[in-house]
Amino acid sequence: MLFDPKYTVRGRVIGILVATIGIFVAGLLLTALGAAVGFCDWPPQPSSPYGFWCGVIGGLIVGFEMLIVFKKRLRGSWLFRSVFGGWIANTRLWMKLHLWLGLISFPMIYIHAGFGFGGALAATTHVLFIVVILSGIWGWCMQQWLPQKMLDEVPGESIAVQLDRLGAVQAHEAERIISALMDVPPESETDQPIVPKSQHKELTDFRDEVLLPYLRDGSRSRSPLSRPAEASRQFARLRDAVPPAARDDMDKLEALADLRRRWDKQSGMHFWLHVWLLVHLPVSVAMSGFMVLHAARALKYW
Amino acid sequence: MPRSPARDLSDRYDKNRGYFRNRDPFWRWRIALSGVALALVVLWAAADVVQPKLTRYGHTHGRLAGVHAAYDDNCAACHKEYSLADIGTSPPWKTRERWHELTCDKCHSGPEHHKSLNEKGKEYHWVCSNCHHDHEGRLNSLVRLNDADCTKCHADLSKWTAVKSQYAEKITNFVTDHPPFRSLDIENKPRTLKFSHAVHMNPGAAYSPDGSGGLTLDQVATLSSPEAAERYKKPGQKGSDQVQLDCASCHQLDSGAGTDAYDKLKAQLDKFGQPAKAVQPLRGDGAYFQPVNFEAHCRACHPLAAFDGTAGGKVVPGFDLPHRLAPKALEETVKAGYIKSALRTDLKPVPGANDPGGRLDNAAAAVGNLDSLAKREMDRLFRSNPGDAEKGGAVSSEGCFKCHIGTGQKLEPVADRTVWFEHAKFNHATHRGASCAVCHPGTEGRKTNRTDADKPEPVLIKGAATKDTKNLCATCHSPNGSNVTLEDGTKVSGGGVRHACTDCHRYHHGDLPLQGRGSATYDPRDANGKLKENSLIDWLKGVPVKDK
Repeated sequence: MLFDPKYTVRGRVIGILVATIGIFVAGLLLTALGAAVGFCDWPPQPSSPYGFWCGVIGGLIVGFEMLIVFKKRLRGSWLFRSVFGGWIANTRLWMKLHLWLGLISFPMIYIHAGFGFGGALAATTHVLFIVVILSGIWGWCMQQWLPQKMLDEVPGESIAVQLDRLGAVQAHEAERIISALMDVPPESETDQPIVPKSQHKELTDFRDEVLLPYLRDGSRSRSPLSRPAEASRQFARLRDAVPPAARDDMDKLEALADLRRRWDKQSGMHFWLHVWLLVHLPVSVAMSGFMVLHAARALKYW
Repeated sequence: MPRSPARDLSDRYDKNRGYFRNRDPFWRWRIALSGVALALVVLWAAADVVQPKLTRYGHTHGRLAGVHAAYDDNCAACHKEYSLADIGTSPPWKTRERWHELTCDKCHSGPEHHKSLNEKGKEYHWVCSNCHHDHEGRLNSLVRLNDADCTKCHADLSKWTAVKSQYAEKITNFVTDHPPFRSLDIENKPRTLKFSHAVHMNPGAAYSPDGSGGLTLDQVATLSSPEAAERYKKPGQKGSDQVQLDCASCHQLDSGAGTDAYDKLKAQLDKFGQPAKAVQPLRGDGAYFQPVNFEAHCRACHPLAAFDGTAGGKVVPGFDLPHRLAPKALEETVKAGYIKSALRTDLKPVPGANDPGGRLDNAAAAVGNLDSLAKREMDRLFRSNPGDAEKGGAVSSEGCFKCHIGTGQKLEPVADRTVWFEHAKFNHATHRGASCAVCHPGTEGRKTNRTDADKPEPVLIKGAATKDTKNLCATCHSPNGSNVTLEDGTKVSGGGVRHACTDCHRYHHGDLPLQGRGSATYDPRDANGKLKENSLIDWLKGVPVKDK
């Protein structure tokens, strides 16, 4: 979700960081102000009513944040729509709440903890909470930058998870093009293929060892075609070698390789666009679980 | 029939037509890692229930002090457990109150807190953990508190008391604003014993440092006994040498049992039939000096005896008198003593006027009786002069008023000064590196006269600032490098030795050195005052009272 589309990428990232720090500092200042007028202690005490309510509200926010895991199911739920209204189906609003409430929960939990860590369970929960917040901010920043970069730098962008399958389709297409160059179609008036038989071995070697592995597996194939300059050189050499009638097909094959290279770039960006979730979600699950244990234990003895 | 291009396109997805339903690797990893995370939480929760010892440190913010180590995995030993039913009476947002709802009184008790506290003060002091902070590690002391725990109230005592407290309104620090020691203020509690260190520390306990006219060891042997003279004899001294007292001649630490000096003192006490064990602990910690008492420390040079008398024409010999008797008991003792002497068979007749030792007034003596002898002796013991009462008490060169303050036959009680600082603790043993005169200036021998020597001395103790003195203690007991000004104006750098409130003070009457830990007031009792008796298992498990 874009922080504010009217800003540049740098402006949006800075905006997120400023918002994070600003909300955190504002929370502390409000608490300090409250302490100055005798509303709460300074430093805040986890066991004071103020600390307790910060923990409760922070916990409720965490609970809401975790609902995003079930967002798709919930927003389709008649019950939820009846109880919470139509906004539950508004993904954009939900995401806004997820982000901003998440930032607000940061100072609340920190104040609830009394600027400390406490026992092992509380400390674990607190550390995981910080990791969740930081990974969320990391992900949010990535979202400001990479989608635009992808749009600018990857023409022919496709569905990331289908890229390997699309590569296989492209490989099939390349195989068909090359076969057409080497085979004589039944309806042909001559018995000579477009590419003379003397060049078949060179063409099939290029197809099997260089082109098809690259189209199927991309940069994982370690093919020289993953490097643009080397790809241009190889296709230029082929164009010179084949008859003029086959040169258009060589251009098509080069275009397929170029597209695969862009998809490789897209895969890289896709990785950085989503890898933070491998931290954010599991750590959120663990943090929420430990938070429940902490609350249960605290209410039993405290 | 040629294949249609559509069929060619379709065949690409043969056997995998639902490819778009396949989850991407990121999704699979997210789910797998989330599952692992959830499993960890479940594992922790299970261990919490099944094996609480495994997670015993999981819920506290620190290890318990060594004295409570047995309760590391047993929160309920000290904390009250809550359930949903308690929400009405103890709502969870009053977390601090819940947290500090402890059951210390299962094992601990103590005398009442300050009676002058107002409701707010009582409420605060009712919670043990407001001052005694646990969960701060094995080596943490629960009684050695941070100054802030004390100054919370003592920085502005009026906020916490219902009536004016006997203590200073504002104390924030030992070095800066500790009030004068009240124990040293003798204006409201005048001393009731006349004693001159200046005289007694001079050679022969004379009035001048040259020892002229002073007491010799031979004289002590004559007045009392050779053993007494031996006790005061310094190495290399002869019998004709003057007695030279030092501090240890009278002031012995309570840890002295088993030493030569202690044994001599005990023999001295036993000889007079005094309850030696009652006034001398078998082995103290060296914190305090044993009480100075007449029998052990005075009698050798100041024997207390009834004089010889005459009755029925016979010389009735005098006899030793006990100390510490009330006038009536003393009178009876004197009478009994003279009767006992009169019954002796070896009484000598009163010498005639012309006989050796005879007196011109022997006729009167010869007709005297035992009652008059006893009366004469009592008069001598309690001799006073007209107008003594107006002058603050009787003055006499012999008898009770030689040392005691009083008039008629009434002596002012002598306070037990074993402990001067009644509201704090002090350990002489830990300060033995310094000479006595450092803290007790004015106790050295010097020239004086009888008039001055017969007056009660000022208190010769220098400590924390009094109204007349600077804070001598702070020379060492102050933050390292802080500026300390001594009485003579010398500026010294603070020694950095500990100077927290609880280094001297205790609470719950622990600050009364003779009524501290171990006294019956510390035994745990129930609401009816009945003594709680915990078995070893109860004690180790910290079994809640309600479960017993």
